[in-house]
Amino acid sequence: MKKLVYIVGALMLLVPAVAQAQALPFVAAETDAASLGTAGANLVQTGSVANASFSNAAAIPFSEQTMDVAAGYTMWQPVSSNILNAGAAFNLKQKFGVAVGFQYGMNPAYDVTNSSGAVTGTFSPSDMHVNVGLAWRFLPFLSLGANVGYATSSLAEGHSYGALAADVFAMAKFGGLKVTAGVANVGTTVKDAAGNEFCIPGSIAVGAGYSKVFGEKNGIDVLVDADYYFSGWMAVAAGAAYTYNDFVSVRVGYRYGGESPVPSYASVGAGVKLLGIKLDAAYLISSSPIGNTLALSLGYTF
Amino acid sequence: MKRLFAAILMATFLVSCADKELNAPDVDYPQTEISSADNAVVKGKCIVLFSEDVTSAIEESPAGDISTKSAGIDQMFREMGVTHLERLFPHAGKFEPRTRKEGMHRWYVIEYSEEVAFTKASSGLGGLPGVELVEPVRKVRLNDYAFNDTYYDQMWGLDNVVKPAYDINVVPVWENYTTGNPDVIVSVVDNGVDIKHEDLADNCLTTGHYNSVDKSSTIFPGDHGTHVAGTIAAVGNNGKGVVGIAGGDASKGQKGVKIMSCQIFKDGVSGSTDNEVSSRAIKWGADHGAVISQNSWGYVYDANNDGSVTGDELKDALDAAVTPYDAKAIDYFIKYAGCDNDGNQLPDSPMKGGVVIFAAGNDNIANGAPANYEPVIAVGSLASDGTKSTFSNYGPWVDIAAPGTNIMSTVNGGGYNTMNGTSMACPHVSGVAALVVSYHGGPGFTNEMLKEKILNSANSTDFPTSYQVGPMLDAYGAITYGTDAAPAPVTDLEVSTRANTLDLRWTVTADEDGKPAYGFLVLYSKDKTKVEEATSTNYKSVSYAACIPQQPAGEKVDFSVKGLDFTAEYYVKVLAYSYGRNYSAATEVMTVQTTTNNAPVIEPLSEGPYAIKASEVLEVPFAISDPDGHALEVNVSCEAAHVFSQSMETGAYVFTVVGKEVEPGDYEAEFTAKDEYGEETAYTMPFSVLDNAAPVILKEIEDILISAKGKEMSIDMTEYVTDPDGEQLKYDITVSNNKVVHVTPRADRLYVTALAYGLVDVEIAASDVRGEKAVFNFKVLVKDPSDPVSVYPNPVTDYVNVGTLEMAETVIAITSSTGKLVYEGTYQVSGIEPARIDMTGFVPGTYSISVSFGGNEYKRTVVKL
Repeated sequence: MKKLVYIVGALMLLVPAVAQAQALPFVAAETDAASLGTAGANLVQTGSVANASFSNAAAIPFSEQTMDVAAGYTMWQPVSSNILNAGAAFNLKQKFGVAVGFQYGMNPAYDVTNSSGAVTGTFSPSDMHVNVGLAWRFLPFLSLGANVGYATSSLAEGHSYGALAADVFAMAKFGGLKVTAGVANVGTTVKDAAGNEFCIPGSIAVGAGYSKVFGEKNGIDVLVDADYYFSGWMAVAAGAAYTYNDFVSVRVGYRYGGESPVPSYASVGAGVKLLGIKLDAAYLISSSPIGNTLALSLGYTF
Repeated sequence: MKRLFAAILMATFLVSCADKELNAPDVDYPQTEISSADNAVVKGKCIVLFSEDVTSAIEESPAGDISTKSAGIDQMFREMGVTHLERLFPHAGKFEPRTRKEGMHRWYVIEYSEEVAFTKASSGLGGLPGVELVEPVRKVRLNDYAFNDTYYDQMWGLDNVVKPAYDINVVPVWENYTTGNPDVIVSVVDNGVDIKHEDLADNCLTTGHYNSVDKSSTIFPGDHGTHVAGTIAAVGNNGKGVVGIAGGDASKGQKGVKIMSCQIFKDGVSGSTDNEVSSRAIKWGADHGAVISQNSWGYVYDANNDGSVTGDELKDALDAAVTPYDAKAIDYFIKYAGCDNDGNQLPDSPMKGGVVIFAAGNDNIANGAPANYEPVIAVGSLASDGTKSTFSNYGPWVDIAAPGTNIMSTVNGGGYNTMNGTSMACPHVSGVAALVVSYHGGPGFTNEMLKEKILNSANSTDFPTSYQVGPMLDAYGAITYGTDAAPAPVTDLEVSTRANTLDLRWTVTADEDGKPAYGFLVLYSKDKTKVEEATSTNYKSVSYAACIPQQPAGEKVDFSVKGLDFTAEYYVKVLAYSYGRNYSAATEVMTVQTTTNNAPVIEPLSEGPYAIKASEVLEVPFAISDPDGHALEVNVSCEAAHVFSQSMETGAYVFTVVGKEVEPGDYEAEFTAKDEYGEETAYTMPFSVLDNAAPVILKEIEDILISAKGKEMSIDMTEYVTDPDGEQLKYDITVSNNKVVHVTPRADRLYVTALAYGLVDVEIAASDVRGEKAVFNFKVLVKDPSDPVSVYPNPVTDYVNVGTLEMAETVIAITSSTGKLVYEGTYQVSGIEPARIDMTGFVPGTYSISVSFGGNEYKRTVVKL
């Protein structure tokens, strides 16, 4: 545990003491359909860990699945971008976990204009995020997990910005109760064209959840995540999922975004699972530009 | 009756007008001046331009009839023995109308007796009514008579195409008289001649050469002797090498004069030799048929052999005289060349007695021996531009000058090269002497006659006497000397004075054939007796000047003699002479009084006061002259920048000040004119350059909206700016992005062309000639009316502009890529006045910008770098 404290402390040193605007904000946004159904509350989600490299790798060893893969498409409303994502997690004897993830956002093309307003061309910006995660369940009730990734934005001809980011979590499970704590998205900074330095949206994150099966066919999951950003912002997401006979799921959730990079929204989602094949969908409801975002994903697990 | 007379006059006038319209306009054709001795003219034939009336009469006559129905012309035809008359331009068939329109039917060829000189025919016919022009029929040849020898075009001494006055005028001798005669022998006393040279062999004696060093007949050739011999007698027109002055014309089978090589230097080497060798060689020539002795050598005074004659060497050189034995040999040659032992001309000799010709020497000193020996012809040297060769010795003892700088001729071994020296000038005289003997030689022709022809015909007109190298050799003058008729004396000499200048005026006289006098010799002095006693052959005791008029006979010629003493009494008379230097009798001696010197005159040709604006140019013409005709030195002094120049055409001086180049203020220009005798006149001209007023803005230029690419609009700048000085303003234009808008000034109007959509700042600086400006700043928006929102620049690094089509209250919101609202504001926005949002604190990334006005929302993507 001391080691964990040291690691968290070391990563926090990478973060500027005062950081208002946050670079590469998409690293703080969930885009897969299963997570968006519960408003992004997924730190202790063990039912679907394909995208654990983007959330909490420490959850993998507590999963009942050996392998979980998923690929999805998200119509991301704030800038009308089309996001493709894919992830996979491997659970080795519920002792160790390995995860990889890839996300690519295609933002709409814009007219390149000069200082007089004359159009001189067009350019299609894009975002990319790749992650790998490792987990170790070193006690029956306790595991550690870490993700390391690289996020980049291509904004104009000859102008790309990127940063390394890491997540570190510890997770404990006591029966149906799961709790986790760690740091998310700590990493290197980004400089703009004028040389100003910006950090990525790192936070101290905690999560908790409770799962219960009633009558062998009715399962309920309740999930809560909270982020305290190093910039002083606070965000909380809470969601619940009902699963019938491990075949059909419905999800609801709400995120309070506050000043954080991702604004507040409510979410609904649904999923089916048959012979290990999963199909999930989520829809976001909000008065902010994030409203009407729709996510779909297809996965396979065993 | 008056009415009838007026009607006749009117009818005559109308007829005249009609005639003018139908026919070629009258043209004043220049009359060709021809002498009776002109061999370039076909004898017994001339061309006449008749009037329309005479032409009609001829055309109406029966074929073969030469009647013109003009009594005068018919009488002259009879006197001329006219045998044939025909149109120069025959009837042209279908082109006859235009032939007649051009008046070409009036030109006739007339054949008449060859006994009648053209000059007589011309003067007889030329004065008759109905004859507009009488022209000789010139002999025509292809323009290739110039010798075909390889280096002919480099032989400026014979044919100076750049400055024709400075050659020896030999081409007309070749064309009309002779190119040489093998009976004339020239002994070349020099180093040996390359007598086997390809361009000399035919004109060298087969036997009779003399090696005076070895006292043998074996010649050791050298460059110098071969060069000299080539100038005299290199074979002409043989398609190779050079042309000798008397080298014959190989293309016509005419042989040139013969070269006798009399070698006085050992083995062809120049350097020095023993003096007795040269005297022996001179005498050899006289005893073996030569009548001309060519000597391009002199005594050596460069004792230390350093290449220059200085100190005691110079003193010796200046005192030098011919040695007694050389003098004896020279006297012998002159007396006995071409003669028997008793001094009688040999039957086969072309001349009684000989002529000895010497180079003046190359030390540029006032002496040269043996050339200074009086009986010889001493030859100085000139360059191709008519100036004295820098090396030539000089002095009154030099008899004649000839080309001596950069002379092309033969050299030993069959080659050709250029050389410099009086050594090269001397053979030019020998060559001309050989030509004269070739043409005039024979029984009774003497060496004195030859000498007179060469020396008295020399050209003193184009060469200053200050050179002291004698007048310029003139081959044509020498050949024709004394052979043509003397012109009639001047009978109407008028003399007046301007200060120390004599102004003379007389009528150009002619000889009995009507040939105008070639020149006039003006003799003058303050000693009346000397002027009275001066003759055409003895006038060196008085001052003289030669006038070569351009006017034909019968016309007045004006001539001035300058540089006389002021307020002195002078006596003057004039003699006319032919090209062959046959002189007329002199006019009576006239007495004139020179006067005091008059000051130059400076007179502005425009009236003051002189004041200009900065945009103006002050030009004041001046007439600056000297009443006495003296040369003037004219200067101007002025603090202001100016130009003072003289017109090549009018001779007027012009003082010019450009207003913009001079600071405003009052100035003075001081003009001075000083004649060559120091008499000076000054003139002060005040002038002003006025203060400048800067351009004034009348009103500002408003921002401009252009709604389509390619559209053009103009701005009349006279509505916005004016210059109190009335100057044409210059417009300098700066556009913040010239890919959006192009602005071009044309006079006072600016043309604005939209090239692309966008908003630019335009600055117009209207400046006057002094650079004072009125500056305008405005914006030009080129906006696509179908796109209501503009967001630029994109990507943005600091500020982003958000513009709308028309002014409206606009809400602008910016959200991040994750949907976070990062900016929101409300503005009064238009295309020309866009909202300007600071994005310097924004992280790099993709943003969505929402622009809401008029109930509509428009979204655009903007990227911050």
